Amino acid sequence: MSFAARAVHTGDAATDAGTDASKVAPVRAVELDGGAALKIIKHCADASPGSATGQLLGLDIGAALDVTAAFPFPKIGNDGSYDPDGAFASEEGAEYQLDMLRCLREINVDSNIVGWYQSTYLGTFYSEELVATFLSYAESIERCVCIAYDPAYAEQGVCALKALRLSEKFVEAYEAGKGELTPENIHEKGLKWNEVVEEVPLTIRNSALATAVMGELTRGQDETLNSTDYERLDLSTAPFVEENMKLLGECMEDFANEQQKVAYYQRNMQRYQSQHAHWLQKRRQENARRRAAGEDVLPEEDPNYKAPQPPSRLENFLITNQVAEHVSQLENFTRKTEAKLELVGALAGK
Amino acid sequence: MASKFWGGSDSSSADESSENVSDDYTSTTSSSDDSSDDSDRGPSKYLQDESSDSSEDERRVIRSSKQKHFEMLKQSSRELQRVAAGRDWTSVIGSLESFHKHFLKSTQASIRAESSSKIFVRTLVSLSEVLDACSHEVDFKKQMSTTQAKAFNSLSQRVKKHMRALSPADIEAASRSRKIDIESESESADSTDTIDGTRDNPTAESDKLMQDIMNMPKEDVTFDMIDSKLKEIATSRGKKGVDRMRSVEQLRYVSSLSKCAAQEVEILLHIISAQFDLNGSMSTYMATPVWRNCVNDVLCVLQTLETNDNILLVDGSELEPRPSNDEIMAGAIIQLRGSLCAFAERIDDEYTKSLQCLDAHTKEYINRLQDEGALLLLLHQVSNFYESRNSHNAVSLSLRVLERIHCKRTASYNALKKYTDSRIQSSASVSGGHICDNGEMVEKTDVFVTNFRFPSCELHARIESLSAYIFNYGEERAKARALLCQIFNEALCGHLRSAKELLLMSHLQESIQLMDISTQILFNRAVAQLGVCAFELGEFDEAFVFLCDLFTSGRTKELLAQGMTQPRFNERSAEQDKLERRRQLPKHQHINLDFLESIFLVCAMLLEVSGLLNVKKTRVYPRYFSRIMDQYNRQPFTGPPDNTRDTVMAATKMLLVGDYKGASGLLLNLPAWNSLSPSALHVLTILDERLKIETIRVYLQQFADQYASASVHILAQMVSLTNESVCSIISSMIADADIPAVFDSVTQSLQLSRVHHNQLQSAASAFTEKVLVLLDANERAFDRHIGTENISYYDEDESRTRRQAKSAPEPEEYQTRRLRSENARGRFITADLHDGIVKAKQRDSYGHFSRKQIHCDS
Repeated sequence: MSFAARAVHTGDAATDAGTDASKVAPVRAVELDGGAALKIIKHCADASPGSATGQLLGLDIGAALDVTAAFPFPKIGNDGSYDPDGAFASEEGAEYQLDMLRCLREINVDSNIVGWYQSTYLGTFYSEELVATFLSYAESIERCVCIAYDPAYAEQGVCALKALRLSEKFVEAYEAGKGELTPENIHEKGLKWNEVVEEVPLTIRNSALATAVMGELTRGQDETLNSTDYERLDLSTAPFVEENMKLLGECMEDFANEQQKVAYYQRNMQRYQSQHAHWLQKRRQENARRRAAGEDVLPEEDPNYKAPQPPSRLENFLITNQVAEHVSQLENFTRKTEAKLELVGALAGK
Repeated sequence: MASKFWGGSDSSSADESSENVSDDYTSTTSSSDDSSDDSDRGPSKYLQDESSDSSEDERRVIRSSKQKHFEMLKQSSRELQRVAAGRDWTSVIGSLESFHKHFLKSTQASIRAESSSKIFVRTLVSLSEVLDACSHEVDFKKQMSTTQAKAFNSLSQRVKKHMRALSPADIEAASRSRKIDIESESESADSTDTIDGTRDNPTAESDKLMQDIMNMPKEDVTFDMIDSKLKEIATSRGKKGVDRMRSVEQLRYVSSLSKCAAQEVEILLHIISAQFDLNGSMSTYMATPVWRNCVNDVLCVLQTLETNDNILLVDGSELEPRPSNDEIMAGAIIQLRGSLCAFAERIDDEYTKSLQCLDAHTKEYINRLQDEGALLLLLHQVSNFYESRNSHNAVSLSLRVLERIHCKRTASYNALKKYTDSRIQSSASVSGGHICDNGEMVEKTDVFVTNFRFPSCELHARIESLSAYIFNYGEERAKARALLCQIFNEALCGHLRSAKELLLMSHLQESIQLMDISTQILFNRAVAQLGVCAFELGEFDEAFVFLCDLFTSGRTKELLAQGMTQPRFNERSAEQDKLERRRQLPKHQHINLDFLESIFLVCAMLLEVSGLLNVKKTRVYPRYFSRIMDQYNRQPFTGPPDNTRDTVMAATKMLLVGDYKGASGLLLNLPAWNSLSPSALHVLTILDERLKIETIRVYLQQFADQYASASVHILAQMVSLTNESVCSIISSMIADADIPAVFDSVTQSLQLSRVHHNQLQSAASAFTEKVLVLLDANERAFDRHIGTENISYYDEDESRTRRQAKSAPEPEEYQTRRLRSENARGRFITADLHDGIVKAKQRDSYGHFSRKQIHCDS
């Protein structure tokens, strides 16, 4: 999945948000407009099981970030035409984005980019690409969120929208390591695995008019149960848990891969250390001889040897997050299911 | 002397030449005269030195070029006569040519033209006489090879040509003077005018003395004469240009003249060492007749030593002062330098070397093997001799005997014994005892001179007594080797239990890595033989364990010293190559490699074939078999099997689809089974039975899913077993939970009950599997990080898993063993998860362990 969408400066609209870059407070809450939310949900659900992504537009005022509108990115095939299964366009996408923004401004929609949205499958959004996209957005806009929608999770009768952003600690550590997440940086910042991506509280806010319409629609209807309420008692638990288990298994494989990298690094490191110790000993002997002979002493740094690079910790953190995500989903789901089972059991036992 | 410089030289040579044409410049008599005359002649006396004593050859000799030519001429004349006496005609031609060339040169340098022409004529005349004598000899031409005959003919033509060029008067004079020469030569050794002035040559001189003694009647030779000659020959030993063969012959003759036992022993000792000198290099072996002579000589010495107490052999330490000759004659105690042990060991080494060099498929090799009896006899006698004197030597010799006989079966040992005994008897009846007559080497070399007898006890008893002796007196290495020999022989005789007990009690397998290479080879051989033994008794599992290390290394040949393998990566140096070549065993001691491989592969197949189906089953054995099976499967085309490995592979594939008949047909007809000892042939029926069982097991494991029930009767028919035995196989499989089934005794059939897991269950089990892998890897990484490879930790885990698997009450829903163990593993994870979490948290809060923290932790 490549998020080609780049933040494009649209001039005046951006200025009121990012006047003083150094004092920008992090996003503490996201308010999502009901219409935009529906648009996002529809786009993602239509594309499921494929992936979908799009642009978030809105206002960046105060502590909360208002997301008022959204538009989808098209998928472009090889020949440049629209293709529902193709990759998201890269260069053409930027142009499309600009065109779209211009058009939206003309009809008086907020044309300030505040982030992007994407669909996920059972919470599998922790990837290096996510981090990379966040970082590329951060080059142009300070406060940026990603809204992830999970159609498969939504089928379980929950609101599967999530607002995400990178934590400041992570960004600092990452930038200190110059694009590498080194153990030293992690140690220095006290970065923990669950502090890479933060979830921002998301509220859906409707305009007064929409609220009124909703009130009007529900008024007069009796409060009895309808068929959708029965569906909530669906007892088929297997597919969701099963899928999650499979994904967990994949995560373990990823872990094993990481583990191999570490083992490889350890081996290399051992070899390097023994070689270096050998060299150093020789050099020291040489120096002792030189000192005795009254010659200049050679430096004890070895120019030829370079310590092997430790493997990046980022992947590891992301997999851990992914596992945590799956586990929490399972936890939520089983708690509810258990209740249902108890209920049904009690009813059946009657 | 008028001339200060060259004059003296010139005049003196002129004098001499006028006096005597064929004057020898280095002749002792003339020089002694000259030097006494010249002693007060000042500087010019050095100019005379050319004619002075040759023993002072450090002094500078100055000669004119003319004289040099003359010298050369004489030299080549001498050479020519010497070669002609040897009757090597091709080389005679060569020396005649060079002689002629020298003659022409010296005639050009006119000063001695007369004398040189005389030399030329006389040499030619003597040569033609030799030629005449030869051609008159009966059978002379028949004996020559074609090249020699050709050379002889052309030589006589050339001599005639040269003679024609000379004047008849010269020839007449020359032949007359030559006759006088011969007479004078025979009259006395002191002749100033002989042509061959070879008296300064030590060998020639001793030849002459030798000639004397040889010509003398035996009774006239005195002890002292023999003694001095012996010293002479001994001093010539190792010098350049000494014919070694010749000195052996001389010694041989002298020994026949010896006056008393002590002298005979002394001469024999010299003969033995001289025979060892005969072949120069370490890589070539001693010629067989010489070797036999050596054995005889050592036995002779031994016999003499045993009968004469006054003769002592000493090696190493200083000798006592030698008694005078008369005392020796009278039987005084005399010490001689020499070691029978060293001789015997050398003879043993030479024997091994000859076997290594000979082609094992020739008659020569077989004949050589017959000599082993003589060798064993020798080693035995010498070690007996030392038993009371020097236990160290006795041990090393006993060990050599043991190493010779440990790989023999009783039958072949008895045959060898019988053969040797018969030879001893026949030789005792033929010859009285001595080997020499008339100075020539006796050709009947396989005759034993001694009345020693081959030890009479049986092979087994012999080995036991030998190793018992070595255990009592030997040092570590000798003990280890003796033990290994004993193990090998026990295994060869089929006593698996006792052989194994010997091996296990000795704990050799722990220390063998520290031993020298040849002992390691012996160890490998013993273990291989144990494997063969176990197989022959039908103990396939044990055979596999014994042979496993040998075959998984892929260097079987090298490990058993039965042939060289091409080095794959690094070139071996010539030195290493030579060493390895020297380690090789003689062919007749080899264990058949194909036979070993067949045993190993068949055993491995029987053990692993059920494992091939079930990858997840925990493995007890290394994966050698499945690896070569994979290789076999990867071949694009598999033709009919032609080697052992392919045959076993093909049989395995048949077994996997339940084709018992095909598999057994292939396996039971392996060519290697020809090497089975006749008493062990019944192992093939055991093998057949085992194959049947494995076929049933594999078939049921493989295809149980396809059936709802299986009839015992049909299964029994498939492998032609009885119903009862099939029932027992099935029952054991059910008990081991290899197949999910119940046995219905009423219908005599197997009711298979299948358990299907839903996707969630399989996903969950896959997940636990992966977590287990990850956990293992993590622990290993952690151990490496803190610097201890804590292996016992894993073993503990493994055993804990197994224990849990056993103690776990069988859950109803999990009937198969696999799931049971997985279940246990699952629980094991939850039990350990707590630890895991603690560790994970530690790691997280530190982010990364630094060295210092680790030290605190540990």
